[in-house]
Amino acid sequence: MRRACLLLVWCWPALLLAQDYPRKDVDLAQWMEQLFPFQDEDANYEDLYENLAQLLASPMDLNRASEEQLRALMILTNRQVERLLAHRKENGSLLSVYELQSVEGFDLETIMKLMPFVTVRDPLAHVDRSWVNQLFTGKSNDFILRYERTLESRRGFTEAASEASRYRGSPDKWYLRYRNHRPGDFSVGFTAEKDAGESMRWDAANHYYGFDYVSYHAQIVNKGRVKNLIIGDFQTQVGQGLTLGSAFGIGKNAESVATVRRANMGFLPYTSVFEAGYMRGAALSLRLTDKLTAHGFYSSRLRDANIETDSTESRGSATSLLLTGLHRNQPELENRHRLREQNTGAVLSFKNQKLDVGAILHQTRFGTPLLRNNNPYNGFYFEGTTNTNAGAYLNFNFASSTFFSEYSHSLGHGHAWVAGLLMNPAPKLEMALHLRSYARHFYSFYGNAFAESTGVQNEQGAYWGWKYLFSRKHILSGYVDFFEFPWLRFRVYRPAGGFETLVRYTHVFSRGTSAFVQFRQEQKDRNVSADAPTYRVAPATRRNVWFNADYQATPRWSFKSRIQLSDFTLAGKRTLGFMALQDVSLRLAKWRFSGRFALFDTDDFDNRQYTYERDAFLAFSFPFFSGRGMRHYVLAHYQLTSQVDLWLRWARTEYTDRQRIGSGNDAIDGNTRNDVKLQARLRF
Amino acid sequence: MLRWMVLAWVLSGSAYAQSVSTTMGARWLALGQAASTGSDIWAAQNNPAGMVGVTNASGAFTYEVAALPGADRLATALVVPAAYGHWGMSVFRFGDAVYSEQLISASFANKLGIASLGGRINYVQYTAEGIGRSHHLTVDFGGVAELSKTVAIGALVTNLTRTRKSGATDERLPSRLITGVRFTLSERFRWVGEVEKDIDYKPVWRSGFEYNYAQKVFFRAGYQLPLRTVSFGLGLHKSRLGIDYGFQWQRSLGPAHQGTLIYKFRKT
Repeated sequence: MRRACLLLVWCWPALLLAQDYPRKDVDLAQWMEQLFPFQDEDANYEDLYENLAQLLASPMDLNRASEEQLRALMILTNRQVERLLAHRKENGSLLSVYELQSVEGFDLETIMKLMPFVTVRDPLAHVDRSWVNQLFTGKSNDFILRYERTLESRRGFTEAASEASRYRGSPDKWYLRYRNHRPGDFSVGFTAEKDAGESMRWDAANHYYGFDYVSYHAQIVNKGRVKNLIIGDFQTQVGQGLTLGSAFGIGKNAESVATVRRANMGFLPYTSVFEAGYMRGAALSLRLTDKLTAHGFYSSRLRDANIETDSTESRGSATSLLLTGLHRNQPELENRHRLREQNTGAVLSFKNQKLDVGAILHQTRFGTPLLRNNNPYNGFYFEGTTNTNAGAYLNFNFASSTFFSEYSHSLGHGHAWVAGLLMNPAPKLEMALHLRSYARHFYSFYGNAFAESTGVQNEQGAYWGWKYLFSRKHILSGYVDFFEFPWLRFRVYRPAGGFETLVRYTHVFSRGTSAFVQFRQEQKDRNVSADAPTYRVAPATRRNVWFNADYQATPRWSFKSRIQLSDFTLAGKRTLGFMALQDVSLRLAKWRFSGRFALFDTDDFDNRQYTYERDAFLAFSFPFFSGRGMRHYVLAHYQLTSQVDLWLRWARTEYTDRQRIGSGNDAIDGNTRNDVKLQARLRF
Repeated sequence: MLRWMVLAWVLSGSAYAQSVSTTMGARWLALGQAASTGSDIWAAQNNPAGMVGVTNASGAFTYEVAALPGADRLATALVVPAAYGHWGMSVFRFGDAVYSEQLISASFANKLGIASLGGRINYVQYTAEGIGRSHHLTVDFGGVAELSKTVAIGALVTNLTRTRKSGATDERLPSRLITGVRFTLSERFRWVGEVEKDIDYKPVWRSGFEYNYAQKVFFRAGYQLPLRTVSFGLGLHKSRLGIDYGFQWQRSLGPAHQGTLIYKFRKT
């Protein structure tokens, strides 16, 4: 699969960015699909992945990329990162990406895999041009316009919905993104989005500026003492993400080693459409000495929240923070931008070749106190207006191993820590060990450390991941993770836990042709019945088996076949799920087509089948299917000129076991759903 | 009394095997108890075929402190390479004055080409305060085969005779089949895994790895599924003396610590 991806990337007609070697856009689809085999929690994965893609979409300069940035790609092994850094130190800047071949430990396969994500800038090309000049005249502008619509009408758009719950806007979804970015130099841009059902209007008093969501930033990097300065929307990624983690840390996956450690990236511009994930204000990293850097930020913005006003209390209280970013009808609009949230933070970091250590201080302050509805499971959720976390991180390299850790303390509340190790204990073996402990009364609103749950709270765990490369043709990888939740959780009314294990064997037949088999088992406690007056908690076991083959028939035609099987057992009751899919891709002059035909049949929601689907550049589609039916889509990509790309996508789901799709306001009468998407990308 | 009841519950319901695990050695506790391919002195107590890996006559003692009062385990072992085969002896004890299990075992192993075979006779004694005491004889057989420098497999069958616990009921001593594998991926790293099937219980998967740092220091970790058991440990082996420490955390039993001392006698 990987090889197929590389070959496609490699064979595509070279699209020359100015002063760049012939490289094609990051084929994120393939890379993401490999990274994210499963989604279990209810988080909005499309938004999270989009955020990660935004990061990867701008190729990083191999000569300027820091150790942490190289690690953030999640492609290079621990050893490869170290050797690349050593090579750069001994031999100076790389002259081209091809020079990687002379770096010890880099084989052609790694280089091919890396190429879409990196660049080496010709030092002569810009020698007499200032970055200001480059900003206005350089050819690094990137503009995307996207339109989406579900052809069937949803209940919220019809008379059937009550006046209050009816959607105010049109069923069209619009997305607009502009970015002018030179890695290691500067970035300016904005992102705007209107979801289906949201209305377009200008109402500055209610923070409505045309689109429902508008995000913007301006950044400069490496200008004198200023290492990094961002005005506008930004995200933070410090240490292992206990205190300051952005939305691009990912969970357990078949890339079982490299993705465990969080990269210590500092501040990054925010360009994603995940409406709950960013900070708005200013962030600055200042070089104090060669090894010492001070970072500080301040953010103030309004968040979506449920506010309950008590007649005796004028301020009221916020009962929950809302993350969907949807503002389509009266109740959703009422919660829009209701809660003032201020974030202030400072980090002092010291870094030399072996050691990376820092102290972190972060405060979150809400304009209205958070007060939860009283339930045993949320007995330790945060309440009040202010939370301050103080902590430190420590990373160091020794004997071709990397140790990483972070500790954090919510002042007046609980502690949290993580510690892990990446190592190459044998020539063909990579291994990751990871321990974590997050107290039930530890609070971190931007934390995104490695965890089973979605938040960094109420969890202890131990993880062991490994990857064994027998040869270029045989790769075995897997992990096992144990987790315990000391306090009750939503729908688990007892201290509980479980384990998860995965094994994947990949066989590479030839360039462009490979197959893998993957087995995953998860056992996790949950309430047996929500109807009973008393709850019984029992282990629920979910198993998945995937058979996957990617094959390239000719340079033009390539295919993917996959079968996904699953079962789910709880309290002696076993249910099954099945999905089979066939993909076809065709490359024809300036056209690229890809399509899928898939059938799914699951007994229940617990056996829902997740699949990754190809989509337009920077658009993501990770749908899941339950029930019985078929799914197909066609994606056409037309490269009009070297500056203009066009995409057209049509996806259709047809159920055979129901006459109504979805529920509530999103319900569609009928058994079919069609989604259409159009995108244009302009680079100049 | 309460303690006795808790113990009975642990042994009957939530634990997978009806008697406690007799796999001993802090090294093996740290490796998730995946000891079927083991070739150290604890082979006398675990898989007897592994005793052929013992080069010097050796003695060892190990003690495990459990979270549950009265659930400590201890064992001592002696292995002697002889003109014909390897001979071993071990003593195991679990429990306290209220309830205890004790084993005295004599074992023998011999090498046959790439394989080694071993057998063991155990004298087993169960004691429960106020209920009485019972004695049994059981027989175990095991084998370890070094398929290549990298791969070895091991197998162990316990209680071949399916000995009954008492004449009055059909309750028998545990009969288990354990099949394991060991991969020596480099001089410093080995990985072990095994599946145990007890006739009356669901299969258990165990796995662990051992990493040797600077020849003398060993770092180990392991786990068991679906028992939700995580373990790790350290070893320090210098010339003839070895010290191992193992820690295990299990969902139903909590934490346990085991310390081991191994002494190798000079070759005569």
